[in-house]
Amino acid sequence: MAVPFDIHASDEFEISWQKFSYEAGWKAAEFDESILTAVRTLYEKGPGYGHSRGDARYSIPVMEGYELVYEWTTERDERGNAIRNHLDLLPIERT
Amino acid sequence: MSSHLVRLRERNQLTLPAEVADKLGVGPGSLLELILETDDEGTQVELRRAEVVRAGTREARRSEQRARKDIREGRFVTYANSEELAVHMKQTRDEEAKRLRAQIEEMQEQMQGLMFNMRRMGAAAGVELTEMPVNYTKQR
Repeated sequence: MAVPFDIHASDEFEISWQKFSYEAGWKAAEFDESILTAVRTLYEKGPGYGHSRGDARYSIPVMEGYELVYEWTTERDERGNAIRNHLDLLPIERT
Repeated sequence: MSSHLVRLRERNQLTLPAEVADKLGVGPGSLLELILETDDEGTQVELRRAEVVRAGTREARRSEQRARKDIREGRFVTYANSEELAVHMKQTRDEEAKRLRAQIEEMQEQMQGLMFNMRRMGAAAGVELTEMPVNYTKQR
């Protein structure tokens, strides 16, 4: 069952999106759509969807050469109780 | 669906029943993810197996570190759902297109001013300068 959550897009996500858009050139619209498709899937499936990248970090392939990376982080107080979850989105070059 | 009762020990430790571990395909050293969901009926916990893959390039790792720092220091925008993000992306694209159109118009004006000055200089020097005709190739 999907868990409702807010999408927290970091400044780095915004910068990377702009940068990679220029690289995508005339395919920029396709690039945007592939990001949104990945985000929609993530939102429908909930946290934990995608390829795991270590401790609660995931990636979803978008347009060829890029992937959407998100981090599901649970901030905890001094007693180990969860305070809030947050998420960031980041397209990076695929290895 | 099956249910298992486990008792929490000191420091919140518990033992995963063998049947559950087998079904998840996990053993000592495996990484698991606990997902909490709270609704009117209380809090439910979902347990998932997590797989570890290698991190990306050095540049990608740096980029991820910067993103993490942004989140930590409050440099992020919150979208309630994917459609809000879609609206933001479209608005950004529209603004970018508007800015580029304005830049092109400004460059056209600069070009016209340059051509005007060249004609003036040409007139002063006794040289007739004409703008390159649109159908230049056809006139040749």
